[in-house]
Amino acid sequence: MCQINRFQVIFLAFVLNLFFMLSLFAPVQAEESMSKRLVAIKAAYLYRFSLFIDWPEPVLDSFLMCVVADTETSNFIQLSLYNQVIQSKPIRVISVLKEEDLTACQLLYIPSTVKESTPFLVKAKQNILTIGETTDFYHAQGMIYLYEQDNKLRFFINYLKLKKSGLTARAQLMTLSQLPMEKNSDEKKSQTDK
Amino acid sequence: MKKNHKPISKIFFIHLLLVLASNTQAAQESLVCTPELKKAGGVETFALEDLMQIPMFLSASQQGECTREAASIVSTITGEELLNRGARDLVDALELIPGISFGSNMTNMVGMGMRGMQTDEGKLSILLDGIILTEQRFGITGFGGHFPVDQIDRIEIVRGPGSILYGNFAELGVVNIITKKGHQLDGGVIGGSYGRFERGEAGKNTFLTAGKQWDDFEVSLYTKYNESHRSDRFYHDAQGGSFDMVGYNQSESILGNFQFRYKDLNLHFLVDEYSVDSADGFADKMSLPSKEIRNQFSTYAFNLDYQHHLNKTVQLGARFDYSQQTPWKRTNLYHDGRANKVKESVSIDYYTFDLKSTFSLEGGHYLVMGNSFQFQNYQPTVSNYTGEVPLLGDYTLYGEGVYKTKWANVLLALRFDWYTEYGTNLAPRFALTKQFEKFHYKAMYSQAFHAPTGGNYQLNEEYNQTNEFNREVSPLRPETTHTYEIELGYQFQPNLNVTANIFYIEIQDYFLYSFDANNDDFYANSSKLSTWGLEAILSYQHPRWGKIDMNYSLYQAIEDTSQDFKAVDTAGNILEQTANLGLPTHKVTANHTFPITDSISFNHTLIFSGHRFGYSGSELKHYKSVWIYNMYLRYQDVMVEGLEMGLGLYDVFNSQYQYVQLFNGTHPALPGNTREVRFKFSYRF
Repeated sequence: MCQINRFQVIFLAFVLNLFFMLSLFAPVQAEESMSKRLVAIKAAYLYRFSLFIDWPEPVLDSFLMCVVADTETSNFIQLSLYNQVIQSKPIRVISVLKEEDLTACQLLYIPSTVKESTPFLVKAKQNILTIGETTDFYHAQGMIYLYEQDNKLRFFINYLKLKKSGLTARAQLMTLSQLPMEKNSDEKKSQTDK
Repeated sequence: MKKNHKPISKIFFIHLLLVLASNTQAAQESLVCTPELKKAGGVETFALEDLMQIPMFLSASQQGECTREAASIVSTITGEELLNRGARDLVDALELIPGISFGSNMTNMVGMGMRGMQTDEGKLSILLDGIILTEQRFGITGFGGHFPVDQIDRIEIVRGPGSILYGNFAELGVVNIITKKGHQLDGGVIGGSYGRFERGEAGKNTFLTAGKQWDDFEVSLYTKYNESHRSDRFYHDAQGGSFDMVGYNQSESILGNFQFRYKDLNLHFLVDEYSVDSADGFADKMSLPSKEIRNQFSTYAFNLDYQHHLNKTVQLGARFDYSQQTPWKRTNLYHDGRANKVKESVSIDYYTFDLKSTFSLEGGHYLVMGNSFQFQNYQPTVSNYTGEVPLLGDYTLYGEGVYKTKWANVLLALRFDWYTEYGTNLAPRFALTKQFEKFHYKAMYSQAFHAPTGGNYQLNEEYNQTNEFNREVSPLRPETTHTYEIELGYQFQPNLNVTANIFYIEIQDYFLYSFDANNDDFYANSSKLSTWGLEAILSYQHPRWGKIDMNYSLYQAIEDTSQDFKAVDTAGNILEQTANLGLPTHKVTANHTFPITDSISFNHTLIFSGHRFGYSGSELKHYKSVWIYNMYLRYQDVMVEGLEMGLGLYDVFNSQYQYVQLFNGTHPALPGNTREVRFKFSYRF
């Protein structure tokens, strides 16, 4: 029969200790993983949108993405885009509240958890790209509306609103813009909110 | 004394990491495990069109697939990385994987070593889009100008056994080359390259790939033609002979790969023709001036695969594979006026039928159960052997299940094989894995089982019929491999990852290629061969300075009952107990891609390969450590969109790597290339 050697002893010791240590210290929530995966995909969208938008004024020290009222999401977006640059400037992601001044933001992202977009859209005046996910955002004339269709993310660009704000979207971006189907929008909203 | 401290320090180190890891807060599965996502370094690098194809929520079966992939030590090289590096062939790609080195077999054949062991004789599965290219006669894979690397999607390299899923040849590892599919190509790419050594042509190749998707219908095609030379140096045999390798030892390959998909039905045709000329011969004496030897390998394969999604949790899969191979067709190319003559040829028809069902639950739990039947019709067509080789069949039952808990994904797998000639075998696999916020761990045990091939069978029978000593060698017994692996990884920063693993591999009843005093060959079982080692990978990415990947690998040979892989001097002393022939115990690689502009990048690679031992005849030779430095400049969209050019300088220091034979077969080392300049181009349409 097989003889047990030194490495096999170490391996068994490791596995047994693994059970012991992890059962003591690491009860964690597996469900969070899916939402983080989704945030990583959305962060990629924010980044890619920014590459196809021309702002009238050059970015100074860093490209500022503002995320409404969600510190955890803004931190994760910052981590996801750690290595990327826009207009040769590093990306900085911060969380903002309703009462804050938004003028330094190049991009304002309103996640699905924010039910009322209008107060933020009113404050985000010239030269700020607004991106949102709720039907409220869509009807309140936000610029890029992200929505779910067939388990995939799609987006619609309100070109007039964009132009009025002094921003220009390149043709490659415009060709991918798709109008959401209104009749399903409420369902989409509820799914996105999940 | 010193030896006793090592395990204690290792265990302490592991505990320390565990304590650190236990403070992490939230579980996080891999973000990049769906096929769409894993082809690139990060989802943020995707074009918008590709982002729009990514599912927001993974189905149960996709979650299960992610979990399964986590239960192996896998390295992925993306097509983009290969283009950035200017990889000439699969050797360039695999050299940067920890634990992998290259050496020679015989007759100008280059083979691979992994974790201190030779992967020839059925220990490595090479697949192209799931079709096995490892030859079925002896289980040997020839490298050098053979496999495609241009415009492919990615190469997945599993270091560690994959027998449960990949069968008989996946004892030590699996290399799966995945070409681009129609929806990724959406058009085509045509290209080629030309390279020169210091004193002669290095090689030339051309390829065409094209594909398209129309709703549920998708088609893709990959073809390539390649000619290459092993070296422009002089080969010296062990008996005082030598020849200039310029003009000799060239190889030629043709590959065609056609795939067609309609909904969940996939059809796949593959043609692989590889020819290697040799003037160096089989052993210590070169075959020149009287002749050269040409070894030809051909594979014609067909695969039909259907996946039926019964409902959200149950998926049924049916697969049929057929391949017709002519491996090691040996022709003598005479230089003395005689007509060329085929000396040896076999024909192998290989059939596989596989049915499996996958039960997946939300959260990533899954259970795969399946059975397959494969058989090999092995026919010697030109041979000294006068007998029959029996139909070699194998019925397999296999199952693999994962249950995910908050602190570990528990994987249990079992494979039962019932061979027509070699009895039965039960191979288990067990793994604990989990990825936390910044930390992941894997602890795995796998058993693999490798039954003799038709070639093994024939060689021993032929030896019994023809050897002059009237000896009779026993039929080969199957070999069994036990592998233990532990991997720990930590993300120090979002752009800085470190992963390290330790492994222990033990092969029992190892297949040993042997000779008698007349140089007549046969196989015998050797009781044990084992190694342990560690592999560490550091990956760093900077927005301005690009991406750096570094790795270090170490193996330590432990047991070799036969001593066929040991450096033994004339007095019978083993010069280095911890080293096996032809394979460096230490290896370090560093690769850096620097994006100069959006369309121009510069890549350079440094490979340190430690010293090695090998034989030349009966003389033991020592080969010093070498540093190999390669550079490649890539320019995309040159003047017109889609036109790409690249210029590479390989082995800049002219270190002149030698392919040392990976066992004691008396064959001197094959000289590798000198400094090479290569120009590559392609056009996307």
